[in-house]
Amino acid sequence: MIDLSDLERDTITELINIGVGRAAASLSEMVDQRVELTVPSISFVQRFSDANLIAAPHEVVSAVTQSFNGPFKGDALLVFPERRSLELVRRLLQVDVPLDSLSDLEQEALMEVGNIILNACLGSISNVLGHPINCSMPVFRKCETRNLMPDYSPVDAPDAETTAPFLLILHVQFMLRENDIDGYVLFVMDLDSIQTLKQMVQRYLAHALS
Amino acid sequence: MRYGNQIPPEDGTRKKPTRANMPVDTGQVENTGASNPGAQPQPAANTPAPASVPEAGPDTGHPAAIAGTNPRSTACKPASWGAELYLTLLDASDVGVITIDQNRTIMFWNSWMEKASDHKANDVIGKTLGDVFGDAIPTRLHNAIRDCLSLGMPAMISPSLNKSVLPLRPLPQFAEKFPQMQQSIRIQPVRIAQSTQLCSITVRDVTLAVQRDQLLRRQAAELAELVTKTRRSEDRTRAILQNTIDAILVASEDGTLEPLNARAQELCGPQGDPEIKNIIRFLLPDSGNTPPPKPPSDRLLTDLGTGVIEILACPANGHNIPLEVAISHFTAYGRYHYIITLRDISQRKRHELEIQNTMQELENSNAELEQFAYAASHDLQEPLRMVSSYTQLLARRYKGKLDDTADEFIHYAVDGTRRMQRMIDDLLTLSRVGRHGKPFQAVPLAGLFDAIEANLKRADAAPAGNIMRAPDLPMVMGDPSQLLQLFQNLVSNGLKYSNPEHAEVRISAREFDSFWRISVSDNGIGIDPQYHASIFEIFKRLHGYGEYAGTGIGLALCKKIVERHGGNIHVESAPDEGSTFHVDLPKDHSVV
Amino acid sequence: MSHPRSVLLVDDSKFARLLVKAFIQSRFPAWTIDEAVEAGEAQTMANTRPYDYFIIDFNMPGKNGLELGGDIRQQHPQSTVALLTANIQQDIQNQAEALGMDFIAKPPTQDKITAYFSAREQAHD
Repeated sequence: MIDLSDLERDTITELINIGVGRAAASLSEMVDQRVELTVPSISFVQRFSDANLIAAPHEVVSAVTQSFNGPFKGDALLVFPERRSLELVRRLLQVDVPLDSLSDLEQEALMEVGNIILNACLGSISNVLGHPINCSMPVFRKCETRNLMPDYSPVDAPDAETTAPFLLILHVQFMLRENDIDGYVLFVMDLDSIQTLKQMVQRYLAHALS
Repeated sequence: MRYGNQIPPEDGTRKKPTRANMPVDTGQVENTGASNPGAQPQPAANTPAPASVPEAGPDTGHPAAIAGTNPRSTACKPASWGAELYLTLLDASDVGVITIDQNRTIMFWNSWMEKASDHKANDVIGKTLGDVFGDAIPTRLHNAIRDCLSLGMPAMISPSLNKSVLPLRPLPQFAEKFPQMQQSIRIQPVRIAQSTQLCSITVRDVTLAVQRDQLLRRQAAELAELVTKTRRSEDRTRAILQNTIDAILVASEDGTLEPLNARAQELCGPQGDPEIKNIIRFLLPDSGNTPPPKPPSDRLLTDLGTGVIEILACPANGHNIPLEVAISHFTAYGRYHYIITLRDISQRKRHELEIQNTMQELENSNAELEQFAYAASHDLQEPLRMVSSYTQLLARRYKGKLDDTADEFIHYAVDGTRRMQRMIDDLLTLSRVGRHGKPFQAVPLAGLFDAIEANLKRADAAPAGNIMRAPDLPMVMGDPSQLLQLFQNLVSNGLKYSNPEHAEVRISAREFDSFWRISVSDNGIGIDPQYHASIFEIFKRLHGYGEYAGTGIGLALCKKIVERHGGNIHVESAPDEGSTFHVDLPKDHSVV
Repeated sequence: MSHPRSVLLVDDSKFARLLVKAFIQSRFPAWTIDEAVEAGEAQTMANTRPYDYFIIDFNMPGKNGLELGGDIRQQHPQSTVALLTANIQQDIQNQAEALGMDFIAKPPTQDKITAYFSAREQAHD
């Protein structure tokens, strides 16, 4: 069971907000236009596929994932509907002749975009908490939304346990209005990490307010 | 050796972290560092110290990092040269490997980097990248190294977003197009001791990939342009086809019919004619092995084999439509196709029918008229003969026996009946032109005019004058007695309407492609152009009875005879300038 | 330094308000610090009493920080208004500047907050 006080919940949201704000600044610099952000939303789900943040679970998306593994672990994802990712790359690379799907080099460019954004995000969180977050290299994937994350379904728990939520999903949407590009950043953490994060947040709060 | 400090071999070849293996990975590295305090970074560069490199024992898991297998199953693991092996392998690697320490200085620089940068390891170790390359290094790389060292953030730098990161020499084969090597760079944090964060940079040469990408893009652009062009021209063709009023279909060898445009769809569709395809199939020169049955005769408007095919379409939703069918063919991809064009000929058919009706009416009324003229003249003859006989009797018996006035009256009565007799005779002649014509034969005009001259000389009433004939008058096809009548009339007219003292009639002939023009000219009083058409009407006289003799039926007879011969007659004339009558007689009478 | 100041913090994040309040109080214990969670509440409070400082978040439900800041600048021209936000895009900074607002990047830290108010107070004196 996840047990977060309003303040803890608020603090985690604000942490991500700060991270995503930095990320948006990086993206804004890259595409040379304003990036609009939504207020981050936190949800707890049992399985990733339960997350109702995605309206169209069968939509094909391009995703850049970086796993982090500091004191708490999880995945940070930058997700674009596939068509939007093509437009973003086009905008970034200023190509006249778009191909139907991302070429290898375009994929790598999108990975770098993801890398810059997710690093900005994770880096600023790590900065606030004063603790390094170990990150993996970005990984690029094209898949349906529902398959973005594997479902860690508790295999042998058919009883009440299965209804317990154990994933925290943080969702921030961003838009580049000029190019009609939108996408979102996801943070997915499991139960243990949330507990760790909660402790760190408490320590941080205690320290800051002392 | 190209390392400036002791580098645990696993750091440069760390497996790509995944969710599953990350904690293990980090744990291993940190444990190694902790158990080997000698591995602390030292500022002094270029110290080959294989001896102080931590031993790669079977339990440390180092070989696994390279081989990607369980360390315990690794075959080669002599402890004494393990570390040197890894360094040698790194050095010989096909990618550029650089290691940067917390002071931002270069610790390791492999052979690949030496070759690509023209900087020897000995010259760069202990310096920063900025020292080595100057301002050429982009901020992006600086920031990535900074974040890696301070926050442990990995980074990748792609060739598309960063045109050139490190000023490296491309391979000779790319040198012409690419002044610098295109690079894909990975920056990863490496921790060799608990508190020592290093930064590992690997550089891959992706110039070939970039070149291929550019080629691909160029080809894609060309293809896209081609597709656009083709599509545009296709659209145009389709629009033309769609907007053609005729229905167009294509038939392949096996007899399958495909409507090509909207009109064809309409005719073949559910609201169209269910039989139309069968009819078309029947009309195709070879319609497969089993020719379709002959359509009902009311559907074929023309006899087959005449070249023009007309059919009747009976659409489910409207009036029947007569269609003209045109069939052409073409060969595409080795197969024979027919193009069938169906043209709506409703209008033409309507006109044809109208003309036909008018013709029929005309024929009927002509026949009636002829019949009437014949009957009238024939039946009038009998009472007239009676009147004529008795007035002549009166004249003979009582001439001079009554008074002068009576004699005068009787003379008028006799003259009137005589004229009436002549008119009735003429009328009968005229009505006989159509009904009692003889078959056509070759008629030598020279002989014909001989006869005419003889006739005129014999006749007392014949006008005086000179008849001049052109030599070599041709042979024409026609009814000899009618032609005699025709030209005798014209010649005698010419003489009649001329000054008897110097009257002249000339006869000439001129050959045209399909007809002979026989012209009869006089030097007489001429005809006002306003009468040129009406003079050919029956009983039309331009002058009073006293001036010139005749019933006024002569030219009408001439016209009728010429028409029976399939020809034309017209006049050229002006008052006091004489007249020329042209008679055009066709050479070929097959159509008559 | 002159008399104690009054500050209105406008932020939907309780955490952010808590931090900023703590940082201000540790340096300026005599100051009055009020809080509002969104623009509407902030407006009402500003109409009730005057504030020397408005510290406003950008990303909030309802009116965003630039809209609220613009209004406050018009209605209370004597007050100092600062945008405190994680949204550090240059465009946002430029807009804030155009409205005569100061800009403070999140996260708030003791140093940052102290430095800001000290500089402001010195400019006043």
